[in-house]
Amino acid sequence: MMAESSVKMETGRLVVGRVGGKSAVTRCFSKYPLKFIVPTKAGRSQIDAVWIYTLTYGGGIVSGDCISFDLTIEDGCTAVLTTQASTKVYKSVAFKCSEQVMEARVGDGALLVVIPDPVTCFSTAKYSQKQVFRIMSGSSLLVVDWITSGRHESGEKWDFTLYKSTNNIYMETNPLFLDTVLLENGNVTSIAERMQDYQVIAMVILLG
Amino acid sequence: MEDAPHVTSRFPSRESDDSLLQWSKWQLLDSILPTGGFAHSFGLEAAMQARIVSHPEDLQSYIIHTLENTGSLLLPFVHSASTSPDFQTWRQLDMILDATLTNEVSRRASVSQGSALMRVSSSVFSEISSLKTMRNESLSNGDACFHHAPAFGLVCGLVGLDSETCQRAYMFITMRDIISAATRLNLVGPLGAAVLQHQVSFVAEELLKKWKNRGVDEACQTSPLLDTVQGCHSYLFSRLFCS
Repeated sequence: MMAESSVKMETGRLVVGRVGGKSAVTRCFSKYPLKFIVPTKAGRSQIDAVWIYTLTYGGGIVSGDCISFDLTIEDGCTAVLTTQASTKVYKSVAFKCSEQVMEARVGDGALLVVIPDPVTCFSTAKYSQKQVFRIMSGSSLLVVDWITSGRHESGEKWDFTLYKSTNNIYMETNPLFLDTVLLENGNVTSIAERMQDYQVIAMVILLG
Repeated sequence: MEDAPHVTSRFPSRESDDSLLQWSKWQLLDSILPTGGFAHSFGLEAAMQARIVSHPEDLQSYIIHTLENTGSLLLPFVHSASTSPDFQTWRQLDMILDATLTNEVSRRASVSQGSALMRVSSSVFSEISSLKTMRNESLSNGDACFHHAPAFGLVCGLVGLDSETCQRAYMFITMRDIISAATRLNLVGPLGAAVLQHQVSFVAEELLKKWKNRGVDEACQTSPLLDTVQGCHSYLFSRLFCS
């Protein structure tokens, strides 16, 4: 089932299955620069949900980092994927782009909640993120994907070089929702011009 | 429309074919072709009420940003449909675009203009029998959305325009429709609009060069703010346009 995605350099894999009638992590693997933390007391105990925190060493994504992980939420399970703080993308070195790719399978009657802190790109940063969700007709999904203009305390407003975020949802094999936002400081228009005085963009997807 | 001859290119075919093709091309780009483009402001009306556009200078950047978004998001569909104008490709593109247009206002606008374009062109270009066949087959199956960009690429491709011309034409009609909406919203007078159209055409050509000939997997939003503002259109208390 995961054969096609194991070709790329995988830095993590996590499976949530039903153990003793409750959602539980049945498989968890991660390697530098990614780490999963699965605290048992993150949510209220009477609510059946696994809380997964993704963190990166150094508190952010360094130029050229490639993070790629698979997530499987089996039938009838609930999982929350979140972060401890905003995902910081540091300055680009030698025009290298940082990447984060996630592929999630959500089973029948399962719920996946993706509620990270916003992405904050430092000046000149280049960052590309792709999240693919493969769902069934009975799956539920909540995704928040958001980005701030940067470190505006330091005067950086939409000062990064490139930000690309893709969120694709496939129901079995049919495309249900395909969205890519590309913010690139180009020669025709700058990001700041396009965003005017807005400092954050957020997308919320509710499905189920 | 006097500006139509701006969209020219060289065709390799024979001279008589060439001449006839020009007539078809002008008719496709002419504002009297009843595809309902003028019922749409591409979010301009919502942007005006949201005070994002209030001066002529704002208007120019609004048009440029909308054209950039058209280039990045829709030109891949025009390109793919015009390079292989067949039933299979078109249906596939139509389905992908339906999943891509996540903003309901622009999704509906795309469907209504695309359906009108398919209806009009299958009657007008009756010598291209496959247009009518494709339309009828999709209507009887009831599973096509008839989105505008793939329909435009399909029609232009079947008429015989080369892909770059189709993509430039798509930028042209988008610009034409926003500017026409701007005059009716009283943001600019008719003469000012013509001046603006000519000025923006240079930028539009740059944007075309940047975004042309891309595959649909590269289609992306480059102006999320405009997309959000356009999505608010249906909440406007009073409105002149459909989108």
